[in-house]
Amino acid sequence: MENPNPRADAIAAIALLILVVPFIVTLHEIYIDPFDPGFGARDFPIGVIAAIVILSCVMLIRAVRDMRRQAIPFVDGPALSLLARYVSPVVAIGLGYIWLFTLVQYLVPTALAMCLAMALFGNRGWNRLGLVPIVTALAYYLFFFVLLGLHEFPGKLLSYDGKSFLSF
Amino acid sequence: MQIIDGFTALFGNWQPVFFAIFGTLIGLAAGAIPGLTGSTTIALLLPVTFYLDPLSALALIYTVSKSSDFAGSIPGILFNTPGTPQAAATSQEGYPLTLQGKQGKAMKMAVIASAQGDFLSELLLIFGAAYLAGYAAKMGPPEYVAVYFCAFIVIASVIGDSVMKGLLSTLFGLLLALIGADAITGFERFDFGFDYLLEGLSLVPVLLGVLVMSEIFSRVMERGQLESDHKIAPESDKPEDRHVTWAEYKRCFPVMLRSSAIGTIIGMLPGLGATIASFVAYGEARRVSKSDKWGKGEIEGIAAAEASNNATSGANLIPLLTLGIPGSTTAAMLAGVMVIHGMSVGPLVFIESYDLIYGLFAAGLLCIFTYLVVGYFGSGLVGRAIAMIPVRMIYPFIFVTCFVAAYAVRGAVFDMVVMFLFGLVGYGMRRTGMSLPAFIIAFILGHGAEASLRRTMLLDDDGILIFLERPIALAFFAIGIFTIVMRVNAARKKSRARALSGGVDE
Repeated sequence: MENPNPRADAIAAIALLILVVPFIVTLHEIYIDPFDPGFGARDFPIGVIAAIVILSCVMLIRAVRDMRRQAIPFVDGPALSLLARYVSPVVAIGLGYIWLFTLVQYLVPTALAMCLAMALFGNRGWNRLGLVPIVTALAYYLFFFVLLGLHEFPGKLLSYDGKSFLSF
Repeated sequence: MQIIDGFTALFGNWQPVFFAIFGTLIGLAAGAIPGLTGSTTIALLLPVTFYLDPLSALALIYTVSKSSDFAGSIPGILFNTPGTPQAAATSQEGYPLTLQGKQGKAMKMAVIASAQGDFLSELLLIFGAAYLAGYAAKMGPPEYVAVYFCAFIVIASVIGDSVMKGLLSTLFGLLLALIGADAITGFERFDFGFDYLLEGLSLVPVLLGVLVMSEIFSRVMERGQLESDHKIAPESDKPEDRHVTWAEYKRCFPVMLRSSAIGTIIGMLPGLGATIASFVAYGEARRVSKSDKWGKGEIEGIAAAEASNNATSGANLIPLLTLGIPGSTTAAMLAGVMVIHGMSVGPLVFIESYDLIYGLFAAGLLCIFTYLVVGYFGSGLVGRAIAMIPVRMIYPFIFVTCFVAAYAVRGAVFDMVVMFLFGLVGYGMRRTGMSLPAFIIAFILGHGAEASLRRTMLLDDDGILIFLERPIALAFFAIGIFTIVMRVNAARKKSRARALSGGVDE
């Protein structure tokens, strides 16, 4: 039986085994009622974690075996470079947006993130990179923070009450 | 009749009616724009539902999903670019008709078939769900454990190509559902020192991340192909090419009835979905038809695919309302909205929230009527509007919307981080072939599954042997085991056949 994509299986198995580690490490912190030694708060998680570990190991072993059989290298250079080229800017914009949001509140980071995202998706011109982000940020602010009344935490660097400027 | 009470609840206040119609129009727009599916739109609208009353919230979500199922056929017919996966079968016959200048006929057939399939399925939901729920309400924790087991196994093994990955996706969703206070004792579990995790991972940021943000990551890789070059072929001048004739409708009527039945049955089964229903119905219609126009613009093909894919809409709610098991991503999100608004998910909802449920059914009927009218007279206009939207601008909007939607849940930057991280997780799951629907459904049901199991163990000193005394529970366990055995056997036969033929799927 030939696995059509053993590399993906191997990556998925390794990722799951890594993701499960913090859960295993903190299992012992789950409180167990000493007067109720039956099916407690720790048993179901143990079962789920054990199943993930066993199935992931099986999938990993099969994937490695199939990769050797099909002479597939573990690292796919071209795919990694595509990921780095296209996905990492999205990661950078996203994390930068969240960080700026905590510093200067909603409006400026949203307009900036929108501008960068428009550029990333191939939009060009002052309208799409300037006007649209500013209008979008203002429209979303009006809808979520003014109309729906969502609370905006003060920024660590710049703090303002936008509702007092925009409310009528 | 209870449905009359439902209409009374719906029309008793302007808000539910407004959001039912608003949701229908949003769903029409979302389904018609390639790249923006009903599930994505619903995930983006989830934070808005916090500010609505329960009936308005449910009506909004439900009508978006219904109308988007039909609307995906519009770009499929006009541009051979289905707006939703379930419209792919419709494009096979719809686009050739467009090339012949008969796009008006094709779109009108699509909306008639969609409305008919949806209506028949909705009737089954209205009259059948409460009846089945009466039996389901007599089930106890052991039966629910068996139902959850069966649901997890069936969904894990049916969706996607790999049973192993389906199971791992389900287990991963279950594991993340355990974060937060323990359901029985209330003590914290897996909070990793974050106060925001004491109540568990919030549903909306997780859904936004795995469904929407992960899509952004996927689309950014295709950005070179995103240029909107949609042009509509010129329409024929003949009046009979612009609408469905009575003779054509009579010819397609039995096709629509049969396809509605196929869609309803498939819609009731967890994990299968509208895409499978539309292709099964299309294939069946083609098989029994005597026409030689298949693939070149056979209107029966549109009727079959659309009747079937929309028939899954109402039927999808049957396992949710009778057993508390969402059989699709949309049903899972509807379950999430119900939980957020303090409603129970399962058969007791017919007792505890009678007005709301029948109000929801009434909203569904209103939605069908609305999209029938708008679709019949306005699909051409929708198509022309889509042709004007630069696709490259849609994804940046969705990108920034995800962040504010995640923040809107409880005003916490933590949720924005969770959303973004799950965007990466969801993207990784897509790239490695893991099952997002299995993960989402397990995440939503995990808490309830564990609670049922622990209550079962408390019921009897025999522990796990209690299941041997419960025939209904044994039946559900048997269905789950049978399904996975069949699926594994089918996968092995397929692999052997592939190996014998000497080909390897890339």
